[in-house]
Amino acid sequence: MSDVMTNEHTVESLKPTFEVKRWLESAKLDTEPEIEQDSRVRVLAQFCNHQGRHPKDMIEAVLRGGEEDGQYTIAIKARRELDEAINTFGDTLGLSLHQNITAGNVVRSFFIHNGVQMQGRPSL
Amino acid sequence: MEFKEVVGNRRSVRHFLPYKQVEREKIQVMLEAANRSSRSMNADYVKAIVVNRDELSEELRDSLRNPTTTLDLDMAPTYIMWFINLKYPEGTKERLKQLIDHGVNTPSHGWSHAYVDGVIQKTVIDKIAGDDARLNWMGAIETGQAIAQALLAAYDEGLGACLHNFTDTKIREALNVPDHWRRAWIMLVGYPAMGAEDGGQRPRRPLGENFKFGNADTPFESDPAVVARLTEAKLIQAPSPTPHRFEEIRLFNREFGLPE
Repeated sequence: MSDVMTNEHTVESLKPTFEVKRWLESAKLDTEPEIEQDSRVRVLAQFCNHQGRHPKDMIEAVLRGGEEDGQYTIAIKARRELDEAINTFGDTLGLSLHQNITAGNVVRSFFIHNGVQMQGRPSL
Repeated sequence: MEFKEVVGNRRSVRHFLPYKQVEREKIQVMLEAANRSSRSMNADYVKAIVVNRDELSEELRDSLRNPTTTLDLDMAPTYIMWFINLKYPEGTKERLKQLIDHGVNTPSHGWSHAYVDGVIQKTVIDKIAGDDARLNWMGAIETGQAIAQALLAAYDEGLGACLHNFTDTKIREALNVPDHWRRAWIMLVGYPAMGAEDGGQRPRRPLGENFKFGNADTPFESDPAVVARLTEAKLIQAPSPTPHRFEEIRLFNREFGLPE
């Protein structure tokens, strides 16, 4: 478990973390204008505050192991709960359906690029 | 479309135009192609059920999902669920005698009604039917051939497709799937959102790595002249990633609000 426990996640607190850097780099969002990057990190921060958890904790709840050889297993139930939490979070934003779904998928993008295999929910 | 171009065009398409329905006649073309696949004992190894995404209840559609088959189910307008018919040995004797009567299986190759009537049951059919590993092995190979023909037919019709695993627990009951139909793949069919090129041909290892000549140690050497001919015939096409592939994907993802 991470030792960082706060409900006040912000762009400033999350952006320097390894997980967020890895996300932005892997998704090639790090070449986007700062305002674009920050808008995504802000959504992630909102989700973390909604859950009252640090993003690293949420990754660790799904990816188990890794201490010895860097290889993890996925906790299926935890991943399903995470996916459902993302849907719930999106639905509470009070935006348009497309914006709600997109926000949820921004959060999914963070987890995907940190090794949590999950698929997006399209706005159709 | 020429055969070589059809083979060259085939690639696993995962980005579909979700709103563009697949014409029923094109699905029939795919099934007709599957129905003409090679099959030992002229048996019916393959079974398939076609469903349109929008005609399935949300609950049933959700029940098909597994971690690697989720988004695709939302995007592809048509699903073909393929099954292995584990009762395929049934009726073998009648079908083989029919092949003899049609001049397909001939005496020059040892075929006679007497052989089929008196010998083949214990020597061949019972051995397959009584051995689960053999039954499934043969079933999977022959079902795979039928699926492959349907797949190529899809590309010949200008469609795209991808084979996936799927969860069949609920759908079996809902669609009355018999117990002896073993789940194979679900084929998701639709129009490729990024055109037939769809990012280019997927990477493959050099020919000789997997294909040998004379013995298992000697690679089958690729002749550059043949490669040139196949390139002209479009069996060999531009490899992935094609220029602007990632920009294409990004635009697609942003259109549907998908994770980047």
